[in-house]
Amino acid sequence: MPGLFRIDGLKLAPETRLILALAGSVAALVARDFAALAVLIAASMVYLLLQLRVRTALWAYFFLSLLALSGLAGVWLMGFIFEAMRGDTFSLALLPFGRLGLTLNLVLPLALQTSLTGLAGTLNRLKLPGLLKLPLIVTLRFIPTFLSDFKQLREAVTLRFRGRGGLRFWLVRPVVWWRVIFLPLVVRLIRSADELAVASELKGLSAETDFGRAELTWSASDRGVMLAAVLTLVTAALLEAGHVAA
Amino acid sequence: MLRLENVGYRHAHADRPALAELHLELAPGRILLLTGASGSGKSTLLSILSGLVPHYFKGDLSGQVRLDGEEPSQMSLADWGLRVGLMLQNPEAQFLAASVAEEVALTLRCRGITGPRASGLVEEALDRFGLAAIRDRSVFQLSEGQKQKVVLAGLTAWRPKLLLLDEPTANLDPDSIADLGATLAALKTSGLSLVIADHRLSWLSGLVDQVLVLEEGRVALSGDWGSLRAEGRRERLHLRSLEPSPPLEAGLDERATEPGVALDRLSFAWPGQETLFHDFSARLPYGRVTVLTGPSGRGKTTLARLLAGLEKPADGQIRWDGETAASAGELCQVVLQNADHQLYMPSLRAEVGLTLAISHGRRPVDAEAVAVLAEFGLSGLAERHPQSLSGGEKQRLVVAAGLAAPARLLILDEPTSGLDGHSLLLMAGEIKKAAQRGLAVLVITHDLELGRLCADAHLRLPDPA
Repeated sequence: MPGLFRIDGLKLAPETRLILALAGSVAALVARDFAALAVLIAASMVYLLLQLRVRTALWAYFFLSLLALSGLAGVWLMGFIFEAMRGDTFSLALLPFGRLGLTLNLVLPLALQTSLTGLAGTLNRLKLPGLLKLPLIVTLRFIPTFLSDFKQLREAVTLRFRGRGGLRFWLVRPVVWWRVIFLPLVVRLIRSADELAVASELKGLSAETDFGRAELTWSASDRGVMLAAVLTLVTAALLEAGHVAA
Repeated sequence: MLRLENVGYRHAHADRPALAELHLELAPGRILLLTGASGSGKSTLLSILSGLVPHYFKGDLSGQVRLDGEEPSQMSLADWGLRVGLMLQNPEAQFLAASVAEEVALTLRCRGITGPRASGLVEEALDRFGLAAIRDRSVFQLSEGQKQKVVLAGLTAWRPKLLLLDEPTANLDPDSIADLGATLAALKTSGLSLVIADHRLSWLSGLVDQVLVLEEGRVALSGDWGSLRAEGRRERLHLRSLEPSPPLEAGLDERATEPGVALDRLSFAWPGQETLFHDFSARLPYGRVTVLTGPSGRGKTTLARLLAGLEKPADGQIRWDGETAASAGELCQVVLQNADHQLYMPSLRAEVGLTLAISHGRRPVDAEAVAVLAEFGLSGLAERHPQSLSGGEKQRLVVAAGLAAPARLLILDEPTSGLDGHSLLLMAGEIKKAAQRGLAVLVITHDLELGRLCADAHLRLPDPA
């Protein structure tokens, strides 16, 4: 069954994806203007959809929404205790949600479309210390595992409960959601992390592993994407500057 | 020479030892079969031999493990890994790279082998395992047999002394098993020692030199292949058949008039891929067990997904008693190969109770859930946590929980993967009982031993053209 996340889309060098992910993360930290953030999110969304399946992007955003809603609920509840936290919780949550979305759009292609040794070779060329390189590589390798685990659990739940109970049953029983979706996912993720650790240990992957130094091989696609990224960043910076001046 | 002297191991926080008083010798170029009932200590022994004990799992290890005089405790796991390679049951869990060639090269890089020497070894390994033609393919798009070959190519590229294989045939079809047997025979000839832990035994006839059967962490039998043939020994040790099962005969047409689930001229293809089914028709009669076999990737699981309503056919229909159904989910229960994914509640009683609650729209009476468990011989375990059950018990619980709600079709996907001989017999019995309840039962399996035990009819998907 073809259940992969990637499509035969845009082919880019690891450097391009890495630079865009880093630049996007910095922009996400700096951006305070909604219009600037909207421009960055729109451009990064196009970048994402040129490389991954729409369904993968939708599921990633589903998780992001859950995260944002949990945060929103937390802020709303805390407003009952701390007066300073009362107010327009929706507006408060929009900015961090947008920042997370921007980061997600740029990190997902890096994690799902970049070859591990190509990325490691690039990190070597950038002379990143092993202690930073190794966690980054293992974390990126974990993302497709996480998506695959979630897909398997979702299908298992669908197979067992599809067409049974009706919407009302599920809506009024949050405890069942907890037991059927979230708890198995957490358990499965802990198990997957353990399996990945065992696989890395058995392979002998360590901070000292020599991945060589990948040659820089930029294509026309890389140059085009970088140019588009620079134009987007300049536009966002102008909007941001206007916001600060105002 | 691999030598184990009085080896014992107790997991951290465990009351009883997982292994005790183990002695073993294995010469270069010989193959050891390691078998025994589920939970007998096979995986623990593989962890010790691979060096995961004591480097990763920090239990209480006693005795001596030596390979050519060297001990895993006296060197790093990476250095021990140069001498001993381990292939896990799920080879995909071992992949860290994206493509076939990259994965083999990464294994070498992690061992400090780089440059032209590494390139030469990679090419040699790819050629040896027939992987050169698919060197750039994603490792996640390979068949199970191909995934195993990629792992073996990586593990043997730097020529270790000992190779360990954990349940290598659990997910393979008969052709892939034969292929694996030939690969391992070639590795043996090259002087490599192998330890193969497996429940399926018949494929190993003529391949293994020594046999070690474990029972509750102790040696129950140590000898050669012939020692397994002693009267009643195989049954007492819960082992599976030593003889290969003959192919199943086809037998569907004669019951074509019986009521059941009918697949009527189905056509289906995954987006961007070749057609899997074209005008495909078959019948799954009520009260019968139909065993579905066929080569890997030929569409067995896809057929189950179509029946369960997870996918829609491009053409054709699925008829339940002659009528199409709006929601197949209400008519069909599917038991997945990995039962862990289908168990959610803190006790067996609550697990069955969940299905009853959803079906009846009310909180179930405990007695109802216990009655369902009793039908499947699980009432004595009603308060146990489902994840604490054995593999066979988990499968039976998923069937029990699934059938607590009304259903007409039960689909089991590889229900005996990783099960010992005793659990295999129990599973075959449960499958027959489900059919006796009047359900149409579809068993998707590569396991012809299971097919022999329970099939009323056999449906084989054709080999690719």
